[in-house]
Amino acid sequence: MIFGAVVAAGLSMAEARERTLTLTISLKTTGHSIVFDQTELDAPFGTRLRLTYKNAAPAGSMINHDVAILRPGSDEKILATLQEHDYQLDSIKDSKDVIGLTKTLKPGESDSIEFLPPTRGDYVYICLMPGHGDVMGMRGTLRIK
Amino acid sequence: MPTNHKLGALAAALAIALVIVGASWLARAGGKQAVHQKDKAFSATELTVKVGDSIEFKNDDDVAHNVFSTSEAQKFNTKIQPPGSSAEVTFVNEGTVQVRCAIHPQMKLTVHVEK
Repeated sequence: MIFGAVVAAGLSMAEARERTLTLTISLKTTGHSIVFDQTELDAPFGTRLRLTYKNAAPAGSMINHDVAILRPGSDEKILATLQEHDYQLDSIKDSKDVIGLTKTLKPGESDSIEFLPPTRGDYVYICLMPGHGDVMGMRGTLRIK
Repeated sequence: MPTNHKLGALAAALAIALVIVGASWLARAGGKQAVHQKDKAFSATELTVKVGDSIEFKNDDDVAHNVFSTSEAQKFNTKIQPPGSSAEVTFVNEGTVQVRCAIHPQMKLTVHVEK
């Protein structure tokens, strides 16, 4: 967890914020599952974050994934727009509600998003591949406190 | 007796009418079509069914599939379908249903559900 990472680095939360430390969150998906390995994350407000995601699905599975970070309270609106546009990412990727979006990742690939959460709150991180976040529940909550 | 003949004819006519109505109802309510999933594609890209009809999604591939729809007319999720398995969906509302596979985004099927 993020707080653990800060403690491991020997820094107080205040020091971490002063130094604008970049904390890394690692997520992955394994096997044929269409869920993240972690569904709840915490991080302190004012800290720059790097979210790294690895698609660890089997090579031949053809299960692609991505990860988007959404502004608090915007997930239903983003998903509705996406569904209206046949899941074309172009329909939402420039929205102010999308804080960050990884590349579409084939099995074995990784990507990272760096961002400074603009407010405290609950940010949804979600896979925007058809059916993954909206039907299969491939999503989680990043609490910025 | 003439009266008995009339009653018998009436009963026979009634029985025939019931058979016709029943057959018609069964045909209407029980229609089923099969859609195969093979080579990571649906066997059809567009289908028309009646309200109350079903589609049986058969996984004839050697990989898993997961058929779903988020259309207002019919939201459903068959969940993971291992190779060789089938899942049946009954369409209960009139409208257009966009069907996809959560694992293979290129797999798309449009189902028109008519009254």
